[in-house]
Amino acid sequence: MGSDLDLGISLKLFSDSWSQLFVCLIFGIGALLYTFAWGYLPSKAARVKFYSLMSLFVMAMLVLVRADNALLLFLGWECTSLVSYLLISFEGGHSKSRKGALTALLVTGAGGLFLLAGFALLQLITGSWSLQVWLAEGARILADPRSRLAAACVLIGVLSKSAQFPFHFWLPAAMTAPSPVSAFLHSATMVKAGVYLSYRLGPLFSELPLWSLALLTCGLATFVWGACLSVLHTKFKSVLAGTTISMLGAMFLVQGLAAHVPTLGAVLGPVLFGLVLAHALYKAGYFLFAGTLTHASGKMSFKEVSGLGIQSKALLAGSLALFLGAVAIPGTPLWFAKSALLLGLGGSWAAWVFKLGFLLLLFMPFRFLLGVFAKSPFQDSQLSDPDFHAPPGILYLPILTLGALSVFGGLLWPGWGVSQFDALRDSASWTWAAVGKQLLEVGLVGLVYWTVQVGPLARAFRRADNSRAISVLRNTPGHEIFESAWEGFLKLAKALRQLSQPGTMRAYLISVLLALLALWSLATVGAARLLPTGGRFFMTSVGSLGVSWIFILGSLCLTALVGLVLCLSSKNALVGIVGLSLVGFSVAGLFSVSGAPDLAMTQFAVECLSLILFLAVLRKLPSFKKEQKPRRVLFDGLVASGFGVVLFVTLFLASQNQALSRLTPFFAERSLTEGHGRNVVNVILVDFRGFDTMGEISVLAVAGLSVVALLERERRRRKAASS
Amino acid sequence: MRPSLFLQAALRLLFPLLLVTSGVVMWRGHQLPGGGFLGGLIASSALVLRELAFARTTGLSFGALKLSPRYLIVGGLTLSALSSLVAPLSGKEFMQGVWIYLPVIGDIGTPVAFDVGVYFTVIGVVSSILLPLIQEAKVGAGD
Repeated sequence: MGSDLDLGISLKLFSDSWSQLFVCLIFGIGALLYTFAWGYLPSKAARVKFYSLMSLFVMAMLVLVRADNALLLFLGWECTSLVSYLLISFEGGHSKSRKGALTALLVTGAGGLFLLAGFALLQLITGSWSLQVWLAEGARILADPRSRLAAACVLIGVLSKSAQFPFHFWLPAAMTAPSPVSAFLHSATMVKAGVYLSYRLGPLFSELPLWSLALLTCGLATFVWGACLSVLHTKFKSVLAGTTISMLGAMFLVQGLAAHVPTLGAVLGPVLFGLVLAHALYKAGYFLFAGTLTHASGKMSFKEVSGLGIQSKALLAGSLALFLGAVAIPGTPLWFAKSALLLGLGGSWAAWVFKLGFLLLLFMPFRFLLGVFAKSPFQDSQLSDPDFHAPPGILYLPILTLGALSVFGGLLWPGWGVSQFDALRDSASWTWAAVGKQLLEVGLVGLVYWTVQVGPLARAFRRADNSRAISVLRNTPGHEIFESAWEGFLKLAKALRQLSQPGTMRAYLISVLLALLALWSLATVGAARLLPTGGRFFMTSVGSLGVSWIFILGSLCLTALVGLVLCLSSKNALVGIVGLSLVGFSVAGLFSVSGAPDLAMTQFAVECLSLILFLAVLRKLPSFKKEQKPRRVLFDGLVASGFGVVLFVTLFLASQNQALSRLTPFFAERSLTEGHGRNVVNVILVDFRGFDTMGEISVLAVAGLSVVALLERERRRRKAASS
Repeated sequence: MRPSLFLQAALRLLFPLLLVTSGVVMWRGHQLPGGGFLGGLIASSALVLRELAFARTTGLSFGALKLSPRYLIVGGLTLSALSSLVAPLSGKEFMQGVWIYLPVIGDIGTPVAFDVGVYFTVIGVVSSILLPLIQEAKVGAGD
């Protein structure tokens, strides 16, 4: 059994500094979030749900970053998408959070399928599911033309998971998740899974122009798009979503550029390590900070919050630390990564793109520090005392920890013993010029911030309606295609349901009969060569019958025919039902004279009971006359008679089957010796073919219980109506 | 539907007779024409007849004992399923018959228990469908 199902999935894990970095992020930030959620979530039920889902997510994420087997990686990959659906719709009462969760699941899930296709192609080329093997056999893989297709599939998976253009729209929609969830899934871990895999498979594909160009363009588009979004938006979490997407775009852009700029290629590893670590630290901190702010004041956007002042010193300290980390004060992890990146790029155009983008991104820390804590000249929007309830103290710990790490994290690197971080430290230029330039940039953005938020241009900027700009940014082609595809899919599903589930008995019956008719017709055509011999056999059998037999059989058939004519021609339902019973009783009579007493007795009992059944529900049946529209009668008649003819031919041909003639003596011989019974029919039913009977009575039981449920519902409805 | 006096009088004798017959038919099924399915149908027709004969709702009551058809369905199915599990427990193939000889009763085996399960399931199903419908027809006629 085991060998039949062997898909080559092994639980082999592996570990290098790249996956260890992610393991550290998962465990480290995860522990802080578990602490945060204890104070953040209001009820025990919410905590239970959060901790169980989050633990499942942690496990899936660990599998993802530690797996060597591609299928195992895929398992973790899809599992994170699935759990993220449940986590985003944590507050499932809001239709918006359900919509956001569904969008995230559909986009990342569909991307995951492409990833699986890419993995399958690579397996076809190499015959192995192991990532290590793929990386080792890079030359052989690239020689195969299918590797282009594989690279494209992996790209789609990676880009959709990390919310890159054109799949970027799901991340802002997913911001309905609770803050700790967003901090973990949408900044620190899950969205970085795409970065993880693209860097992991980078050595394999980086020589393909398709790979590096796609990373470059998608990364660039997302980098700029996210930065613009973060500047325009006023809601905390939308701003954070914008910067997150932008930073993820930067990580892909770096990878794409590395293939074209050799000096950057040399430091790609250290830069990516630094970016991933630094971004995870300060962004998770900011998500928690925004969550605390909303928790404490009930406000969700910068428009509603300002002038918090020193009411909460811990919050101020946290925001300050995060600010220093996020604006890349020299010595912080982000600064190391940034300066190594710009150094690697040298004087190319891309360096300017990065500089400009980073300047836009600097806006966010200023808003979180000055916008929240400083007094605004617009008094109407002050955050007054009664609005602010000091949050539980446990919320400060993770924020302060993350803030401190985002500032001093760089100092801990020597202890890690990771060559990438050592290289990052060494590449940083501690010259006065470099340090001064960075501080100058921060000051410049601060000045711009002051101008548009507090200073001379503030009034104009406050009044300016940027919702149009946001909607322009939001309605990108990717988003629109997704929306219309989803709408179309729902419409198709509805149309199919209306076609297949019309809700009338007649339609169901006709579709079942037509399907059987088609199937049996095929079978009959296949066995048509038996027809002449069967016909001869039939004629000789009839010819050998005595006069008395022909009389008995003939009269029974005649009775059935009378019943049939009665049933079909009557305008009265009662007569029709009696006619139908007459047919059934004649058939039972035929059984009884042809040596099948069991069948005959059962048929008699069934006929009696169904006659009573029909009579009991007679008053509830739809009008008999209404059913007799000529067109409908013609169609039903055609279906019914066609079915009858095909059934007769099928049974007739089946009786000519040679295998059947062997079965009769088989059962007759073994009935008494092995089945302990002389009644062959019953022994077959309860012993030889007992499993079939088990299935039949199960179906019977389900039918009975369904009728009970239906009648009960009807009774309750009537009781409710009468009372 | 008007209750019939003749049917009521006849049922005094017919009802127990039909029930006993159904039991006998079920029991002898292994050797002679009959079986659980047929026996179940005969017992159901006895119940249906009684329901038809009286103005009141009789349902699945036998003197003081009142049953819900649901329990018969579930019980019958369970008995059949359990009987099929005896064989694997005694080292035979799934659903293979296991027979023992009892004095007076004779050969008795798991297929017989299986058939008893079929018997009760059929009674349960038929009476769960037919009896409520007849009851409704009675109520409808009384309007």
